[in-house]
Amino acid sequence: MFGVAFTSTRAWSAIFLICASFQIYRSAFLDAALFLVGVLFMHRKELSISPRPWHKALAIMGVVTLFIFPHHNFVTMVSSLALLPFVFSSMDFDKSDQTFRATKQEIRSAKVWALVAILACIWELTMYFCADDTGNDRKFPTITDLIDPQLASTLGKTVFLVIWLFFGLQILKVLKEK
Amino acid sequence: MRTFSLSIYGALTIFGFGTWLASKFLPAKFAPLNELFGRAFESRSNRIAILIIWWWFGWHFLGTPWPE
Repeated sequence: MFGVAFTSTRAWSAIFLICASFQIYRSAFLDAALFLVGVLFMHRKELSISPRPWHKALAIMGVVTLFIFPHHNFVTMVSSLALLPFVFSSMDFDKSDQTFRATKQEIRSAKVWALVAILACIWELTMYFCADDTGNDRKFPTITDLIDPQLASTLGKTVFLVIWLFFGLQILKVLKEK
Repeated sequence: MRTFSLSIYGALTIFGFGTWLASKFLPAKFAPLNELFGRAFESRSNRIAILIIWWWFGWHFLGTPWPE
């Protein structure tokens, strides 16, 4: 049991430290801080953030505001940050790690999904550095270059928000079922 | 070059969609995503990481006032 938890914490810490370093490299210091907070949370054993009714109320207000206001401004910044207490309190810090033996199907599925994620990260990074070298984002578009222009329209932003919230709610549903 | 770049994204999307379809219709071979997440959430670090990553996507595409 200790082995599984220890490996998972070390692996995620390494990934989040790489993410934080990359965010610092691209001068996104708040993003870097978030990933560093993630690493700190993983290593704090006695951390406890209990869900409060105002967490949910704040998150709902944040989501509504995200639908209303255009992206990338200070209102949407505050709205996104307003979701954090709810997100943190949904992490079940107090719940300890459980021992399990993964099935063959789970291992196979996890390997394929990990491959998809790693290939996407490699390609995204390749595009990022190629665009940086040539100064031509059109030839080497990152995922952000492709998605961001769509979010300028109400329809594009609504579609993005619905998909993003759908995944968030699915994650919460699985968490609740545990 | 742009076409090639986009085709890689397209191939990755199809690969991901194919994996999702396989897990949906061939659960004897590939575990469905909700089962996989259920397993992952038995670890505290995984819960923290997955929720932070989910939040970060919203932050990156909508929230941050400094998009570049």
